[in-house]
Amino acid sequence: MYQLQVQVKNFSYWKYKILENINLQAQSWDFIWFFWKSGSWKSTLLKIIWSIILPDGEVKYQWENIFDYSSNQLSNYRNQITGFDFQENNLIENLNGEENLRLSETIGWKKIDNAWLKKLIEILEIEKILDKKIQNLSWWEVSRISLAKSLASKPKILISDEPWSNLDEHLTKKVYKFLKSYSQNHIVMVSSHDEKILPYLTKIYELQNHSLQVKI
Amino acid sequence: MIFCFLIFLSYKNIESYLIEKKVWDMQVGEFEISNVNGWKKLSDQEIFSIKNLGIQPSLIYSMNLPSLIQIDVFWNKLESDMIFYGVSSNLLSWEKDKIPLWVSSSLLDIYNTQIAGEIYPWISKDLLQTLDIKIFFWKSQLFETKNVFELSWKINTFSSKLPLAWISIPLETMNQVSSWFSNKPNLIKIIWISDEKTFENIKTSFSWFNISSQQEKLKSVYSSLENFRKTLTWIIILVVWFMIFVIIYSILTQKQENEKLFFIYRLHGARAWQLASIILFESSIYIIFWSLLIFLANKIFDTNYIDQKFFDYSHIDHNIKALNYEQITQIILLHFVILTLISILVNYKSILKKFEN
Repeated sequence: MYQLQVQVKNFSYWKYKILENINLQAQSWDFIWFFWKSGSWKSTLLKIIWSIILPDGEVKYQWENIFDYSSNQLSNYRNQITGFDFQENNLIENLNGEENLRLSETIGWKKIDNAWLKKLIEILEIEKILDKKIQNLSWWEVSRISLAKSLASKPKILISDEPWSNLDEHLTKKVYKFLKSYSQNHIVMVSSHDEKILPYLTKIYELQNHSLQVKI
Repeated sequence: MIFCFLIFLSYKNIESYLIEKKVWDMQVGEFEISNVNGWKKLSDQEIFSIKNLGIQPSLIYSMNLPSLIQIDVFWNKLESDMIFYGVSSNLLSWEKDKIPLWVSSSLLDIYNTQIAGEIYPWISKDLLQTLDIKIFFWKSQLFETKNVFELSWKINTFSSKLPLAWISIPLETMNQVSSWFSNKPNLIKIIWISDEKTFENIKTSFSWFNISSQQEKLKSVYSSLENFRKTLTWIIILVVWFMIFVIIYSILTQKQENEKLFFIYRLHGARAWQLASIILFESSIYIIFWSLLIFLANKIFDTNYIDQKFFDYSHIDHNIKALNYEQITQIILLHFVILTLISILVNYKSILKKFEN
């Protein structure tokens, strides 16, 4: 069972206030959805959980504040604990699909479960594009590779920022179902505008006026 | 840029070769006189015309025979193939009771500045006059010879009037030497005008001839070698600075590209040492690339090149030390090592530190 606790007292960029008094708690079986109105800086919150941005506050994973981690511990946290799938291109363009899927293995020597990888490839229907370089793929294909990459290392915490806006309805439904089953033993956090995800969720947070409101 | 550099150097080589060719491409004949474009055989009519000016031109016989000079300097025996010239008696004053050996003052200057340099002791005129000098006729460093005839002489006179790199003996002695051999050596007979005023007179009277002094031509060869050395040095400096500019530009470009790539690596949990090793790898590629380039350039213009040129020109087998290629190579490599360190520091400061967290 995995525990995550996020507390952000204040985070400003230059003189602009971005986040304030954020409190978030998650654990293994949680499938969390963030929705927002424009300008709510939801990506900033996800990046804080991902340890890229360090605000005034704390992110506790298994009761340990990751902001107190050493550089190597942070590397482990990113490589073995979290999996991310962001809107921004986080794949290496001159590598092919499979090489990108195995990026966390290449960097962190954490062996990827081949059977698990095969399952992901089947669900996301990416067999035919695995040997193609990212730069030669369409945005729609890149989205699927990116999602598979974020799940490849079986992360304890999956963070996805508008991941499936480019997927078709059939595939989106399949992904939601799959993530629901994945969240039984892991924490899944998704920010999206797609309300079709609602039946699968355990928690809903709304980002409003720089802070987080619990809706469910 | 590198291509232009090589083309330019090739052009310089050819130019240098042609100038030398002009001086040394002599034909064995009767009377010859130098002009700008080579050596011209004089007809009897032309010699008569010159004599009609009231001038008695000096005759110099160049001996077309393998001959070698050996000087014992500070326990080192310096040997060199040398062309001997028989100079007519009226050209230079000399004591009749000694067989003189005339040496150009310029030759001694060349030895001191270009050969001895900072490595060997310089030789003064007084010192040289005390040294034993052996001359071997029918002997050469270049090929096998037999029936060597040896003479021990002392240098008698230095003269600034003599052309560069000439070693001269009296014309009478030259005739005597030639009579010692059963196979008589070929003699190139040269009319040499040592007096500038007379030279100008001849030049005015025979404008079709466009006479130039041998000494001037030899000087031009030496000056062309000197210019070549300077040009080469400047080109190397320019190329090095151009390379430095390219490297700095590459470092900055590489930094921008690396920032994006390293960000993704870092997000996937890459550790600082992993990113550092990528920077080191890229930097070592730089070093290997530029080192190979320098190695190739050095291979083309190695030290032997100018030494060989000097030997061809003067028949003195020694290091001219015109351009210290090894030192230049070391300096250039040092530049690249420094640049690589800068590259690592720039990347480390801007990229690794940025994603330290």
